[in-house]
Amino acid sequence: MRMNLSVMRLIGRVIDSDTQFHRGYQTPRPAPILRLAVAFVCILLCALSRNAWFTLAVLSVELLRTAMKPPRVMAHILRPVAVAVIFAAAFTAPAIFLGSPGSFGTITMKVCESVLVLSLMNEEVSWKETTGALSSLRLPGIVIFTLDTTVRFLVILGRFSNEMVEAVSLRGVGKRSWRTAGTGGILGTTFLKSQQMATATSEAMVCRGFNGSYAPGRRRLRANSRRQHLIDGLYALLIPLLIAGFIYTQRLMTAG
Amino acid sequence: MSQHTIQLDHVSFAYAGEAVPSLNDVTTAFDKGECVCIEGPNGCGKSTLFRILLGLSYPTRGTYTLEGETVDAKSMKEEAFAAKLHRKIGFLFQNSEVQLFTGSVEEEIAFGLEQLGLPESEVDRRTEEYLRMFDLAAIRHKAPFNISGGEKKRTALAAVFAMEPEILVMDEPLSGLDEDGQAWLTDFIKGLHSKERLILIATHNRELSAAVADRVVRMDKNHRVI
Repeated sequence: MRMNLSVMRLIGRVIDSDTQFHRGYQTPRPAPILRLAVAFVCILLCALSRNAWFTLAVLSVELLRTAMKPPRVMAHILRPVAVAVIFAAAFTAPAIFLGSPGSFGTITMKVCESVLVLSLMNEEVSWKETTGALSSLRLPGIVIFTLDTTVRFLVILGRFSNEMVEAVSLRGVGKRSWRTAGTGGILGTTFLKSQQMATATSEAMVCRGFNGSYAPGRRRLRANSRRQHLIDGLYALLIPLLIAGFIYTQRLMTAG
Repeated sequence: MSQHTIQLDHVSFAYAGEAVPSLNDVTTAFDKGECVCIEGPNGCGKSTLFRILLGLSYPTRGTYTLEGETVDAKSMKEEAFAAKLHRKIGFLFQNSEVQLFTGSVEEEIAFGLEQLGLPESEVDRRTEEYLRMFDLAAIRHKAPFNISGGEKKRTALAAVFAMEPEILVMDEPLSGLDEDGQAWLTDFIKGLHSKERLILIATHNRELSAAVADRVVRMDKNHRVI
């Protein structure tokens, strides 16, 4: 009974911290660079794993973490996973009839695990933090800038083309040919607009003294508090734990 | 003859492939301590004039001098000269959206300061100061493309002001702002008057000119300064 209560309390705290995160509170969370590293190690080890035990273990933990999220967030995380799993299952289904049903299960599970890890990271770490983490890996500033700007342009041009679609659909009531012509026009205008915006942005950068260096990492990845360091340290322990788990499960297969 | 802060002598400019010049024999001067509004119909060459002042385009005829130094393609190729010019002149684009390119409001303000090569502590100090001054602290971590029009304008202004330029150039600063935003920005520009600063504003808004300008320069359809 006491143990059940403790487990419930633990789950409650996790949900609480997640809710706070989604409301925008600045609660200390593991550094994005560590999250990237753990996600990378998870995906790599699962890909290298020669049996299902390790993948199953990681998948269980990730699914447990997903289950602790609010329903809306859960749906957001699981949507891309479902699509990826359906595709993987469809592509590997012939293996069942060719006498290798194990491959069907393993590959589908590996795909599920990899996409789930990425989807969870996407939900918990903003794009800004991710590119900041990449910049701390000494990636050239221009790469980080390209990643940052791509997202910005996608959002702005998306809004722009959406407005044009609305304008065209208002003018093209009932006339299909109008709409077809309008689609071509929208694509062309969006392309031209993107060029104009790129020029204007580069000029804005020049006006602000751009000298070729773009280093947002420092500002995005500040971790000064002792609590933050403690959380980072504990989270970093996951990497050796994952490796140890991987070696153990591979040995299980050899022993079997 | 006393030296003007900005001097344009018979400046003409035509975009490549266009027969009609966008600026036609413009001669004028601007000095520190004044706020000048440049008025004129659409397409009269106000934005082109600003592009030349910022060193983004160069006169096809005539000369542009900034504090006695000629600004042309040759001088702008020198990195130190270009850096000096961009440190002196701050520019507020008409469309703030294109001016904001970093991942957050805070980074937007810090960007120019980092490019100036200021020490980290100074970058942090000024970033905090201008976040407070422009009431942006609450949205400091937000992506600039996800904030409102007024916030975008304030972010762009804060980013320019944090660099503490001696010459401030603004292209239609009130565009895209609601009434309150326009009133706030008009008051803000009024408060910028200083002996050490030159303010140039391109606008169609006569009320803004009346409220802030020491002098109004008019341009006509023939791309000339009247």
